[in-house]
Amino acid sequence: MAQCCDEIREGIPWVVAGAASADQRGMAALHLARCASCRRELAREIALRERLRQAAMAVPGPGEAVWRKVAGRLERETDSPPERHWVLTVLGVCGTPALAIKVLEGALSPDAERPVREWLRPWVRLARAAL
Amino acid sequence: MRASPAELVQAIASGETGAMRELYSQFADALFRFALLGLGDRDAAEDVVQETMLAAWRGVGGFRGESSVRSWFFGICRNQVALELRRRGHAPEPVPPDEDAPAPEPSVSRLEIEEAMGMLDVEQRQLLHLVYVEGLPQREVADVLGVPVGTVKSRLFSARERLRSLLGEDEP
Repeated sequence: MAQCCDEIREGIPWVVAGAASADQRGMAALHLARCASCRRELAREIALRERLRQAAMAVPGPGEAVWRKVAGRLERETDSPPERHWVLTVLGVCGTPALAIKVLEGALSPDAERPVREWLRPWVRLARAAL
Repeated sequence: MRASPAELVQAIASGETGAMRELYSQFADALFRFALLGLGDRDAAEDVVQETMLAAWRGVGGFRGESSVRSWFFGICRNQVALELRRRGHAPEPVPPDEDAPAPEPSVSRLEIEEAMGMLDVEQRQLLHLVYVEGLPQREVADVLGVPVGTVKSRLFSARERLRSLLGEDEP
């Protein structure tokens, strides 16, 4: 068998399935016209594909019951807030007070004005206790 | 006129969840058959179809159209099958795929094919199915399986030879 036959046979399943590129189809047509051995291979491929398709198509599909389950789950997911929103909520609840404390601590640093520090100290204690 | 899968995906990305119904109509049977090949029982395959549809809905914003919608769905479905197999902790038994389905009496030829397919490994079954039954182009098969096109070709050669051998159709 020539190397050319190998290349053609490699692509025959896609030619038979109608899924080959235009180049592949053209090459195959030219080769098959003059190669009896590859024509026999083509016939075997057609028969194999037919058997596989018939066996597969005889299997009943999942039907409407599965669609109803999918639709129900889609509805639930559409109605409830997506998970990522929970993450943002948690970050918001914990992150905002933490940021506020950092700002207040900055205000209480030795560099800050004394009256400001005195005024802010109880609020910082309160915020820490709350967290 | 029936909307194309790409149009339906675009509609879902724009918030039209109703388009999911049409996508289900277009893909559910094919995804179910593909899942059944890997898992061997209808209940598990139905669950995989559900999870695939939901994963597609959740991930629709990330679909850039670099592959076809069909191969995108098959890729998700393949991942769901792999997850289920990992969850089970072992490969599926080589069971004929639809033995408990309410189907007409199967022909001898069909039983032979099912039995032979059941003796291949999951990847070989999936590959043969994508090429021969679904008729996916080489590039799309490679996308679904996550391997280069050259690997698709060499694996298809091995799978096809093994199947033919199991069917007693070795080259004369």
